[in-house]
Amino acid sequence: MRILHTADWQIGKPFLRFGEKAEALRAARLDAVERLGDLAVAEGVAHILVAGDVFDSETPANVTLRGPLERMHRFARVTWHLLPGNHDPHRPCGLWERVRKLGVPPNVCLHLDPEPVVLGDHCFLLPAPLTGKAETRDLTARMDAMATPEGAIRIGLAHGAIAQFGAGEGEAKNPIDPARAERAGLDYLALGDWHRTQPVNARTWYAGTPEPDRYNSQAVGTALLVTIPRAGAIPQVEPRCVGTYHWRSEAIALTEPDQLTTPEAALPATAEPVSKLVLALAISGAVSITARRMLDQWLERLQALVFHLDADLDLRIRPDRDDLETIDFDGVLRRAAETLKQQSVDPSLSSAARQTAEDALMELYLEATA
Amino acid sequence: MIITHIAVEGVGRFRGRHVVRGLGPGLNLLCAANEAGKSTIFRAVQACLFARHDANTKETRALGCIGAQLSARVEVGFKCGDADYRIEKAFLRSNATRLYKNDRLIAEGRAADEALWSTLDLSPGARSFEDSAIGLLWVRQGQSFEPVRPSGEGQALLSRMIEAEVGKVLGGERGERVFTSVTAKLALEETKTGLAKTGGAWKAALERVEAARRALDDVRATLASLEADRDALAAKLRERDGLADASALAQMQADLNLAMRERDTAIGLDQAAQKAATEAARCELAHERASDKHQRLIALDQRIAATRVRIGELDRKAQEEEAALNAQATALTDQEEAFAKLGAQLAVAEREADLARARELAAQDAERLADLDARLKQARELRDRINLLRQTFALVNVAPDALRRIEQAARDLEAAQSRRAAKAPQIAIRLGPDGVGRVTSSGEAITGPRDIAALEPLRIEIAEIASIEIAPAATPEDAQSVNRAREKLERELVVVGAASLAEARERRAKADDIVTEQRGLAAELAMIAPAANGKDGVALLEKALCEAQAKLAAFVGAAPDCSDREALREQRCVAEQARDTLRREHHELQRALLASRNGVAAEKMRLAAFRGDREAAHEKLAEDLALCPDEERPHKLIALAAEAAQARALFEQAQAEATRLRTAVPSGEQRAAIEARVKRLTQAIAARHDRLQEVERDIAGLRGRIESRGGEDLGERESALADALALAERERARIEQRLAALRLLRDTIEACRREARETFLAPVKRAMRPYLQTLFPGADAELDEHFSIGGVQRSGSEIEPFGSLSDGTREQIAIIVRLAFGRLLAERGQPTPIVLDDSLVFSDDERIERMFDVLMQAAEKQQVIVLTCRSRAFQSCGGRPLAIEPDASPQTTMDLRAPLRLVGSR
Repeated sequence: MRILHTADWQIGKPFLRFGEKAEALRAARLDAVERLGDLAVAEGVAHILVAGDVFDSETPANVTLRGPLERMHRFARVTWHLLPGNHDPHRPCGLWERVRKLGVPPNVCLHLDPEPVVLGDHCFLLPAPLTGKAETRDLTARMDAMATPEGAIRIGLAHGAIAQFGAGEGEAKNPIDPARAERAGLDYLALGDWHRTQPVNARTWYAGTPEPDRYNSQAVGTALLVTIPRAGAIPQVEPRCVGTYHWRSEAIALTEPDQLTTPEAALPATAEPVSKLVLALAISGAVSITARRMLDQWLERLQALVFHLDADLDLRIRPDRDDLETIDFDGVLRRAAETLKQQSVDPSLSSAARQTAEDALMELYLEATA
Repeated sequence: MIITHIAVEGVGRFRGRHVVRGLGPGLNLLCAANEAGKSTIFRAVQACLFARHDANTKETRALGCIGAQLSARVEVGFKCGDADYRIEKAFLRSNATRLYKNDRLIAEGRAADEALWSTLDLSPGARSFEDSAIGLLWVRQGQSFEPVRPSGEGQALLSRMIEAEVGKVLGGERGERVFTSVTAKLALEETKTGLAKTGGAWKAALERVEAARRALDDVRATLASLEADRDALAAKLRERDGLADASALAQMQADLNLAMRERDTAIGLDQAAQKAATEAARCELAHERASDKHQRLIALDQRIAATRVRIGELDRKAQEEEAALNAQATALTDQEEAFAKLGAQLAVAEREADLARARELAAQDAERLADLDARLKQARELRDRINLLRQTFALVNVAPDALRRIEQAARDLEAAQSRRAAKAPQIAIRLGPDGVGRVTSSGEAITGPRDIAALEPLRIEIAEIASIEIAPAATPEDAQSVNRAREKLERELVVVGAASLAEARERRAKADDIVTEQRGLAAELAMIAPAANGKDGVALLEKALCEAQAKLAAFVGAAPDCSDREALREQRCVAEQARDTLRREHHELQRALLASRNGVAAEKMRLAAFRGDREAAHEKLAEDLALCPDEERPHKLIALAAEAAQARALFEQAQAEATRLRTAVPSGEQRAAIEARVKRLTQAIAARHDRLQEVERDIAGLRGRIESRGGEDLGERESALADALALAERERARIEQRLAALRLLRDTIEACRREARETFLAPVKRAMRPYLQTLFPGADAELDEHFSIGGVQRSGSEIEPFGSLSDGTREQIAIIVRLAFGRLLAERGQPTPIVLDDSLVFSDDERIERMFDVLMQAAEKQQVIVLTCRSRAFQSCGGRPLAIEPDASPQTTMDLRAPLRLVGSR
């Protein structure tokens, strides 16, 4: 049995903080659905398991509901299995009832009840749909009692967080026993919730997202191509890239004035294509005013290079002699600059006050050089 | 610069050349009277040093000579550095200028002007004297107390002086630009109180944050409401599932059926028990009836026996009563016979007593008849006399009203006469010895003294001597008045028939007497023959007389002699006594007879009662015997006794059965519990059904609400708004961080400027301090960066604004500031003379002495020239005395006849 395991599409996420890039990021998530379909067709996979969080919110607009459905519909030879997650739990008068009313494509299955479903010859899907945003019970426990014919392949489909049982059951949200696959006799347990392609054990995997939506989760959108030779066999899991954008988080500590050369030098080697890179860059260190001005220009160039740049600057402004003389050689302005410089390093002042002094010094520099 | 001499010619009142010589370093005092030309010379020096020789300004025109069209020539000698200079200028006409250095001409005309300025380090072509630096130190008359406000030129000069020492500290134009720019940026964003300003980016950012927060709160509230509806829907669905549970319902129904069966069973037992109780009651009633019947027959039997006993007793008593009655009847008969006899005797005695009384009364009537007759006669006489008096009264009476009218008329007449008489002249005639017979009055001879009231015209003739006509003053109206009064009186008298008032009064008095007498007679008549019931007393008396006569005539006609009244009376008394005795006896006998009769009647009644009772008893006996004759009664008694016993047995049996059945019936509490259970289960099943319907309705409603809101893309909107809020807050934080930086920058620059200003002004303050503390020990002054004095602080007290000081103090401070500036310039190699024209006019004696000390201190550093007209006040000033003198020396440098080479003449 071959399946494609994916999860956490979170269709409808707004990405507003990315400004004009938001629409591209939203569209990329829908594009990922098509790429999943394409991958399934290319690999001859008949079933795609979506382990929860198909939609980002429980009350999306109808057009948002229709977006992935229409795209899934195009791949008529593939059956898409959708499971409610914590972002889109199955509740009365909820999202999934709306989906039904809108019309579910015939190749899309909604697993809203914890009942085994036939996937194919001697293969059963045991879903554990979430009915709330935060369950304190392990809903996969039902799988233990779900009976299937002897010799049938049992594939579990669930959404939640792997929890260490015995450490206070009832505290974790949507907890899942890491040994569920073994307890329930599963050949494979397809999980969603963590936005990271991550194995829990040989039979239990998190697919991650087909299109990342945050830094420090997964760099690129991924789906898992899972091959289960027979019941009881260890599944073979291949991560496949299906995403458009790369999400990276880098940090630079400036210690030398000439440390920043070209913007490209700051990019990770695996960030190709750079135009699709969503980069979070943290820059720290102490720089002169002149260097700080130069850094702004450097960041402008980098922003033009990548798809989106989130620059987090934790810089201390340490004006040097040239900076101060640029402001003035003498007189009130020079004295003011000296005073602000002292305040920026005064340990008796709070960090906020020191930061304000640095900012004031920058303003003075800009005014003096205007 | 030290001015050494001054010469003017053709300036003001100085037609000829006048000089002021002897000027030197230190304090120079020119003390001259008013109109001496001190200020004219001061203005001339100013023009000579600072104005172009060809200038045609108000100041130069003011130099013109009074009463002459002359060229105003001014010469000023001064030392500058090591050289002696002399500048000669001619204004208004034949304009010229020459500059000598060490008596050598070094420049003429415009070049001389500019060379002079260059020597004095002045900006060329200053518009007015005040614009120049030296204007700072030269104080005109009347301006000594004005606050010192150096012009830009003066500030620049001072700044150059100070900056050479303390360096360029104020930042100059660049610093000002930066400060202005920062302040302007802040002013765009915040108000003076630090609040966000409308139209600024900060305000806009705050509003965006607020708007985003509100929108997000609204959406979250809606989501919360939606979530609440979802939770409610889930709860309703669970409740519906519970309510629709068939097994639970079936169990409830089974419980209900069981309870109903128990209830029916209890009802059946209760009904059976009630039936048995009813039967027992019926048996009891039958038993009671049988028993009662038996008892009644027993009572009847007993009653018959008792009645018979009673009848026998009553017979015996009746017999006894009959015997007693017969005895009483016999006694009564005897009493009645005796009573009848006594009654006849009494009647006889009554007749005799009456007759005796009648005789006595007849005798009294005869006496009374004589009395009546006498009285009647007297009464008639009185009546006749009264009638006569009445007639007389009618003839003589004058009514009181008529008398009053007559009296009033008489008074009126008298008054009219008096009035007329009052007007009549009083003639008193007294005859002399020869006058007798010779005087006549109205033809009547006067023989003796005579007093005449001339009511009418009077003529008194004195024989052949004179005739005196006297006309009274009374008018015809007076006479008419008298006549009217008299006529009225006469009318009134005629009415009553009197001739005069006296007669009328006499008649009135007489009428009163008649009335009095008449009243007395009437009273006497009333005593003799009183009237009664409206009838005349005489008539009543006549009637009484007639009745008495008739009565007497009637009695006298039936009896013998009635004249002995005493005997008659005695006879009467005896008869009455006998009568009375018989009456008493009769009365007693009557009472005894009555008592006997009552006794007989009572006896009869008792006898009748006994007989009645006996008859009633017989009737009763007959009734009872009719109910049950004697021959039947014993048998009946036995039968009824048996019936009663049987009925009792049946009753006891029925009662036992009823008790048994009642015991089997559940108690009231048990039945109530069963009933309650039935009711509870019935209600529960109905309520379950109703609740199920209600829950279905709630579910439908919740579904409708959720479905309608579920399509509002609330979740996406929430995410979008959350992102928007985060963006707005970041933007706001960024703006606020920048504003904080700008504020810090502004404040830092301000602080540095303040510090720099203090440093910059330190030399000025240092220069001022010795002078200031001579005047006010421990005092300090406040200056701004434009060298304007803001206020004075005396001995650590608060700073007093310059404007709040008195005129004298302001003048003193203003002079001190100028002296300080001069000292500053002098200490930095640019000594400049200070000229004070008519200063210290507001200073008191003590202050002026201190100011003299200040001037002396200042004169140590620079030349001080004081012009004053107050010789007495400045006696102790010290200094070099100066004077304005005409210059008669032939070696004048300013020779009016010596033509000057005109340079650049107009």
